[in-house]
Amino acid sequence: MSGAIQDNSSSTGLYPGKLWLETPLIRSTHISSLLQSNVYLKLDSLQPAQSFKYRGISYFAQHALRTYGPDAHLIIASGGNAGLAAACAAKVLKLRCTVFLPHGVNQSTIDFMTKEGAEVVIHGNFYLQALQGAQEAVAAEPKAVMIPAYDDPILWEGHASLVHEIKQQLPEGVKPDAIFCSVGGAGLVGGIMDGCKAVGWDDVPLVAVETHGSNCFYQSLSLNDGPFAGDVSSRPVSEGTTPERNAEHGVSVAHLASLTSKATSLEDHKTLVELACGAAIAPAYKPSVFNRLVPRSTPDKPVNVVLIVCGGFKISLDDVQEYRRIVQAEVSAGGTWDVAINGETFATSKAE
Amino acid sequence: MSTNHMNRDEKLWLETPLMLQPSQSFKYRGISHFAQHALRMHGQGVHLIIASSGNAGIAAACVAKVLKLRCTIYLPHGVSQPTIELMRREGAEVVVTEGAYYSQALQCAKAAVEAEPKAVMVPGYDDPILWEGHASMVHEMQRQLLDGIKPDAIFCSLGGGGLAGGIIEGCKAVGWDDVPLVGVETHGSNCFYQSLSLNEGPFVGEVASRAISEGTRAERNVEHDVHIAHLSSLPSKATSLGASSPSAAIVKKALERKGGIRSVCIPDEMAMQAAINFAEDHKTLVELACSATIAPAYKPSVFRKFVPESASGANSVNVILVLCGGFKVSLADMEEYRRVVAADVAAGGDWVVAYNGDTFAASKV
Repeated sequence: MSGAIQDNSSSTGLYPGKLWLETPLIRSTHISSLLQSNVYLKLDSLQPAQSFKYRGISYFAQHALRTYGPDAHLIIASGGNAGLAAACAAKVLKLRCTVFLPHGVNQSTIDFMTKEGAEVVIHGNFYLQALQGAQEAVAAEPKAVMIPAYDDPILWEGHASLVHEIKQQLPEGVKPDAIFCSVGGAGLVGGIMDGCKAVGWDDVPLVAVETHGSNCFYQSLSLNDGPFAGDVSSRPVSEGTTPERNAEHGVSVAHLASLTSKATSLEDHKTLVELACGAAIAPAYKPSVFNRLVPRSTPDKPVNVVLIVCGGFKISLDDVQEYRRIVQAEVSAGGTWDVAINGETFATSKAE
Repeated sequence: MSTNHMNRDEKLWLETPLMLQPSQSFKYRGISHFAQHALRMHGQGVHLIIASSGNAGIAAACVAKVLKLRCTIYLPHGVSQPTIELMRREGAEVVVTEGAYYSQALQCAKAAVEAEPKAVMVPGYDDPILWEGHASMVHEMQRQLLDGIKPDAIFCSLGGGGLAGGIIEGCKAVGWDDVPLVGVETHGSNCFYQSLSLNEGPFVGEVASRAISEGTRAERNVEHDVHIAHLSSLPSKATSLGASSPSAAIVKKALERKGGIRSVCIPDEMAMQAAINFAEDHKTLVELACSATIAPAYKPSVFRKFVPESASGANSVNVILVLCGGFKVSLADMEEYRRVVAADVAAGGDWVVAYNGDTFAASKV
């Protein structure tokens, strides 16, 4: 029995005893009227740890509790949101939790974890180094369990609950013409794909959005036969990228050398979102981009699209002000932005 | 949802219609309930008319669109363009009246209703059907808290008192009539506080000895046997509270309920500071009328004056903050609030908080 005092009963019946909230799916008047379509927002920013990660990670934590008992020590390496999810789940389950963070994670994120009762260890300057520290800690302790950040079927099973909820929440008989989500390590994508398979939506187009400065998934797809334009052998590999063939899954995976990014906030909905979250929503605010990704609505056949608002704690009013300044300067400078879709790039007006 | 950003010992539950209700505020509950009632009573040709300075109008527009009814909103001058655009996008007709006051818009709306047989006035806050719709939130809260947990207090904002009316009725229905209700306003928009002051009740001292603010007119409401204050001006920036007089019925209910009413007034700046903190903690922008409810929770010493202990004697307190929502807030507003609060804090001194006829100082930081 969990320590939750909030009713999290599963209306889909599929995840009894789950810790996450069934979050609202709202139809955005603002975006729907902009695109003459029905655009729904799945508000996973409302999860206890303020991001969708709480689904898969709390699910994994419950699994760890069942497998190892109440003495299990949950350990995770994170840049922020996964660590928060682990800390929140550990608190509810009354488990010990240690989060390994690289240098540079902001104080408010660390404070949030500490308030949830987790121990925080700052280790290294990059996520990979924090991960190393976490792996060493797990190896050294018999009761320690590593919580994966994105690459685990149990995580995806928890994340998949999102899709089950969306199916229940959409109006009767409505099947999305596309689902948009952000992609980092692709844990969310994994959950959405598994969830879609489970509810008979395997044919629903998935639009996975990254930023140019953090696009390992895009670059990985580019290394394989698939939806990308042209032959695999003719596609350029970005500087600083190392292709690797992953033998277990028969797919080539790229690693990135550096990360930078830019995107948007959700002022219409009075919500602040991280850039990583805003990336999935950005195409919806640019009809010219959106129309390349989704078929056009007609009066008798409006298009139905779901945007996953994955959430995230790492956004502040200061950040938003800075982004507004940057965008304003970009727009004043004129010109266009480049958008890449499945191996092709095109220009989109900065001021739309 | 629960949060523990603010206090270690208290569990603060946030009831949040902000992004969730179609019109982005709690008003959608009561107003959609009223609209459905109007449809049942008058048929598909009914024309919904409402006077509003924003959120009630948006709620009416949203429900009219869903029910496929005609809707006209009368607004005073000064309502922002995004609000008007949202109403129009929902298919409502918008009439901006000449005056800058809600009462003038209300006058025009009433005249329009008189002139048209199919027209029905949608009330802003003073109607039992509205309260019945708003009360749904209490039923939800009870279900959402497990194991029969009863809150040690519920906090809400007070404008005309419609939200409080719904909470009071809802509490009665679920066996929570004895749950303390903390109603928060701002000093510059406090018609409920001033009305309570005119009556026997929780306020300190004798009624006869209590001061009446300048520009306030006292009136005895015969129907509900209660005294009501009419304010001549509302200088507060929390404009969505903007009622010059509250619902007499609700003032009476507040005075008569078992859990009582704890009536609080705070400065605008304190509401601004809470809006900023809430945006940082919960990544959500709320209007000042809404952040007023959260403000006491961000100041533990203030909070403990309103909720000193758990009713059940437990070590930790369970409190619900009802976030009424509201569309009328922007990133630009947040920037202004940051500037205003920084200047106010730099000026030193304390904020004054009024509570059931008493005042006390609250630290600005």
